[in-house]
Amino acid sequence: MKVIVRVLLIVVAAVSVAWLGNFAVTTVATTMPRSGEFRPRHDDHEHHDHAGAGRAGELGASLAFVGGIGGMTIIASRWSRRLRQHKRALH
Amino acid sequence: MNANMRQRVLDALLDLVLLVSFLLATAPRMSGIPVHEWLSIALAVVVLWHLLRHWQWIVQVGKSFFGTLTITARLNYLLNVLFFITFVLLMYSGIAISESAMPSIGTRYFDNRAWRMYHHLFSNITLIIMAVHVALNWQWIVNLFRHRPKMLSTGDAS
Repeated sequence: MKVIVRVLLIVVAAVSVAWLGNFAVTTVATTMPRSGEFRPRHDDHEHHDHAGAGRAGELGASLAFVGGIGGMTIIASRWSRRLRQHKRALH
Repeated sequence: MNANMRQRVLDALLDLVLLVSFLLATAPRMSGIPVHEWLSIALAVVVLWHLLRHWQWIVQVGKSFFGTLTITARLNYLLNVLFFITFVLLMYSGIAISESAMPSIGTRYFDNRAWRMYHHLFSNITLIIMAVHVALNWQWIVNLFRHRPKMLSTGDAS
């Protein structure tokens, strides 16, 4: 029973966020007419049809992105912890 | 390995699956659109499970958010809220422009440039937040792989 209530809460939260997002995007799309227009399907398939190195490159870029940002955050949090310890030691 | 430790290892494995799946889902050119879409839908189910597993942490930190909480814990909580919002918007925009998964269950293909643009935007934001989310819980992950049950019982990665 508890799990069902929790799942329902998460779903309600998700639907609310999606509804708000939809509202925001629809509002932006109507104020900028060209951004929301319909286009023939073939236009949007251009970027899916590349072959070769670009395919693996996409995953590599994501990995590098996550590794870079994650690494920098870890280093920053360690520095911040050391700084706090240093300040505490001074007092 | 006791039951608590086993559960923690299972959680860590699930989180690892989440991380790898998310990274794979960010490469639709490599996996192809159908795999990208079905993998993302499966990812949403695993995220739901992840949230249920860490429900106690969400409630406890939520209750003491304006009380006695460290800045790091508060930031981590806010980041997780933002993570949830961007992930929902990422999924919603993905469903809106779905070319394979949604049409296969009978919904119409909705080709919209605005949603496509926002899908890419939410994907990038979610990727950044996920990297910070992993980094903020890095010590928990390290402790887990060092097999220190004593430390594990005090930490929680959500």
